[in-house]
Amino acid sequence: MNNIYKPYLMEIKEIIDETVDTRTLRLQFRNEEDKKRFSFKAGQFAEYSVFGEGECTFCIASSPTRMDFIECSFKQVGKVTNALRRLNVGDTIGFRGPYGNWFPVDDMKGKNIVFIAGGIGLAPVRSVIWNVLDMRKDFGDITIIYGARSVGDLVYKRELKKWQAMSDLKTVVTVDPGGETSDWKGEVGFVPTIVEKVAPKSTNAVSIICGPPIMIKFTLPVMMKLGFSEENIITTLENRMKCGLGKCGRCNIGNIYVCKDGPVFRYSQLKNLPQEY
Amino acid sequence: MNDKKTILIIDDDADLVEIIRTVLEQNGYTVLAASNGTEGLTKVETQRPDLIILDVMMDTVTEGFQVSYKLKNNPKLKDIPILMLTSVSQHTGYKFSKEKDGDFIAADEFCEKPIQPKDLLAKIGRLLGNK
Repeated sequence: MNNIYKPYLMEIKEIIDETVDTRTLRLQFRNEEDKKRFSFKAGQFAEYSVFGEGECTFCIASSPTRMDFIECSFKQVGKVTNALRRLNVGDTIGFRGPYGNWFPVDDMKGKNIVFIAGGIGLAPVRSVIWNVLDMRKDFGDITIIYGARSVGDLVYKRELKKWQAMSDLKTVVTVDPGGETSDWKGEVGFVPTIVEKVAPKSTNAVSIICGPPIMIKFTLPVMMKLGFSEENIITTLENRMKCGLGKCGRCNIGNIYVCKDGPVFRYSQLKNLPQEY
Repeated sequence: MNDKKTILIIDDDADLVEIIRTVLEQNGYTVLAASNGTEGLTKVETQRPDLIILDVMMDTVTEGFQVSYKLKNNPKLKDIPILMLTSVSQHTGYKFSKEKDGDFIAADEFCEKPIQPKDLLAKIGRLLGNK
């Protein structure tokens, strides 16, 4: 009988420092057979373990269209992320997953897509952005609006530049007032205001939003004003997940488990849940 | 009893401003009002209120956040307590609170519309008492 808690062994192939406290790990399966068997979809998450320290939950930040590696991005906030931070290229970590549901990429085909993210909330969105960009002809207009508190807090800076250089999508990057540097050429303003300014069209469009709750709270009225239906506003939650398997009961909101029924939810589903997230 | 403190209400909802004005004046406060962030900032600078009641969604959806940021980053004005008020939960169902949102926004207290007069007065009393 297989042990459902037994992780794959992954080698850290590359470490990318995104900000002062946020890091991306590029991982490869130690076992080639594991790699061949493994698949996931954009939006799913996994449990990452540092042996002797514990596990923590992050989304898979890389795209399922690029299976040579798995990437995760994490902010250094506690015991396990501190331990993860101490690891080096060549070290081994545990990886359990993929878990949860995913962004409805197939349903999004033929539609215009608006990606909105704040801070490290770009990690799950990045997975689906690359997924969509790698199948570019299947989608309509693509708009990316991303913001962080300051220039130093922007993650995936190399990719933001790449996206901004692409002619077949529109990428707008903003920082909160006071977060700009003297050479900053992007927008200055809170994400909801920038969404209001960019005003992406809601016709035949789906929006994926991920970021701090306050960003989502104030972006929702903008999206509704722009005509996006509650069905077509999609987000992802990460709260309190531990086992990833619907067994520990830590991530429940009302009668749903974020790890099993989510982490991807439509706004029409979320608004009917208790306000625990 | 307060010693005739001055409270500035920055909100584009004229009806709400009048309701709050009535409540505050009945309780001994002097009330000033501004209908947008720019006018509000000017009144803060020229009239130096003891407390500001600040709406979030005005001309833009985050105008109140910008006003709050400017005030809290002005060494001469940053000590004026800000009570941030919003109706966002009526629009979205998401609650707004100091516990959940306080890390991101420079304000001293948060409350959702509609607010009961006694709750508003209690929050104002705490903020002024803490000065």
